[in-house]
Amino acid sequence: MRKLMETISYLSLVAIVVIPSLFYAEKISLDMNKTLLIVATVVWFASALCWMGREKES
Amino acid sequence: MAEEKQEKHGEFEREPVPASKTRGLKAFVGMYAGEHCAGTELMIGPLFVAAGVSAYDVIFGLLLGNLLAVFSWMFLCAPIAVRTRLTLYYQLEKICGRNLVTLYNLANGVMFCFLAGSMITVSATALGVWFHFPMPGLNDLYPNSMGWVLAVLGVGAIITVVAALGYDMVSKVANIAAPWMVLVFLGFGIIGLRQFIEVTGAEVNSLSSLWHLCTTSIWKGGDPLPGQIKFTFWHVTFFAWFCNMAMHVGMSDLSVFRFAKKSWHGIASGAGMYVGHFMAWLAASILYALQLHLDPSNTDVLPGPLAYRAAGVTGLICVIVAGWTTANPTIYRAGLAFQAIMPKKSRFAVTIGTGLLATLAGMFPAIAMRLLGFVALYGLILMPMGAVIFTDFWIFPKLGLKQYYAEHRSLKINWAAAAAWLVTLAICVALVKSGKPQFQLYFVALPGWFIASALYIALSKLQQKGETA
Repeated sequence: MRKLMETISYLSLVAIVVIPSLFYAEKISLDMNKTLLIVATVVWFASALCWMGREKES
Repeated sequence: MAEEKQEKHGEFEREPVPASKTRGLKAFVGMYAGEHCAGTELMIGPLFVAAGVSAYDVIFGLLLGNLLAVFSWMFLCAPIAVRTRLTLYYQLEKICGRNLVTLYNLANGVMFCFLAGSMITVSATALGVWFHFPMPGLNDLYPNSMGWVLAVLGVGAIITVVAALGYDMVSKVANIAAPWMVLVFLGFGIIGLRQFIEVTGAEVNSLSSLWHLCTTSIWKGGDPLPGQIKFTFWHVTFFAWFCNMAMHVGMSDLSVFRFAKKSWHGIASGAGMYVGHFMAWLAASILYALQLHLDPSNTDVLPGPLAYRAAGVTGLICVIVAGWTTANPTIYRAGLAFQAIMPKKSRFAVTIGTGLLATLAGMFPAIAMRLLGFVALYGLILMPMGAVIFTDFWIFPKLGLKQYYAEHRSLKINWAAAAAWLVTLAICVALVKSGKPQFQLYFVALPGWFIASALYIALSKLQQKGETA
């Protein structure tokens, strides 16, 4: 479960950079950029809370 | 046993950090990258644009200034930290005596309060986007609407209560937010650049065309906005070098690097400088330059609206979190500094009082809107004590002078150190007041450091006349 959450977290961080890059490349509109960013933000905080700062299971 | 006892208090406050508790480079890289990507970065970048910087000056000035800051951590602060492994306060107490450290704590606490106030100001600008109350302009000194006062009060009250309850929870949120926040800052820059390309109709398909856009539209140079000082290459360089002067040249980060295994771990500060004080400043400045390009009459430096236009609600969350997570430890540290002066008061009460002071400061936009000058002043005030520590550690043994003189003579105040501090500040103020461009507030700390060192050596020679080291 932890591994899954970590993977989701890292993917959401990648998305935080990829989304503005897609806007830069004119692949998405500014509104779509804003919508996707808030989705990636929610996913980051929700998934990171599950594992960051917690001890790894032995 | 002593170690266990110290661990309960957490910080080895009055003894050297043992070798078993030292940490590797990685621990410092993450810490610096997070700490220097703060709410205030969203003010500083735009204020550079308001100061009329050109593209060459801001980019190369920041590259050089940040490098000098990293060198200051590596070659001034960290070498002493790993040799003594003491906190700044304990080292100062041994050199200067307890009463002078109390005065230092007072100055430090007050400056921390104002800094935290500007962070609260930054967070409050995000609320203005939601609640549509009038927000302060670039040259406003006083609060300009009831909505603004209530927003700052609300943000400040929450931050204060959380800081007083102990900031474990905030620390956790800050750790989680840090990597996200850094990338959102990067996103601001990418989005702002695209918007610039669209509104100017520029064609950017190579580095040279990008540079052309930077020089002609983003950082155009020329006159500063009314009420602002013109920033040149040297202003940017010295600002980047000295904006954390209290921490490197001023030696505050002795308390951090006493945990480092090697002095070269000071290079970790580069993560904070080039992420927060290069990328984040440039990204924020692009957003403000775009605002000016679209409406030259809109000179307001308001991180909330700037971030919202680029990244929507994510931008607003970033502004609130950036201000909140950095204001909290700042209020906490200010509280600790004040508590050292009033040890009988509870930490809770002192932190509440400190937070209220910071909130009051945050209501006055003068501090945030004059942040470039305030940050330079902050470093200048604490710098002479860094010179005293440097001189006492490296020069005194070579001159046959007694190190840690206050401890040696059980002094409450070492007047040589006190005079070196206060006379240096008086000389620096006089130099700034002279109005000569080379002695502007942003530059004067450099001669000030040499003045403080020379004064401390000369006065200590007088003080220790007839004594042997």
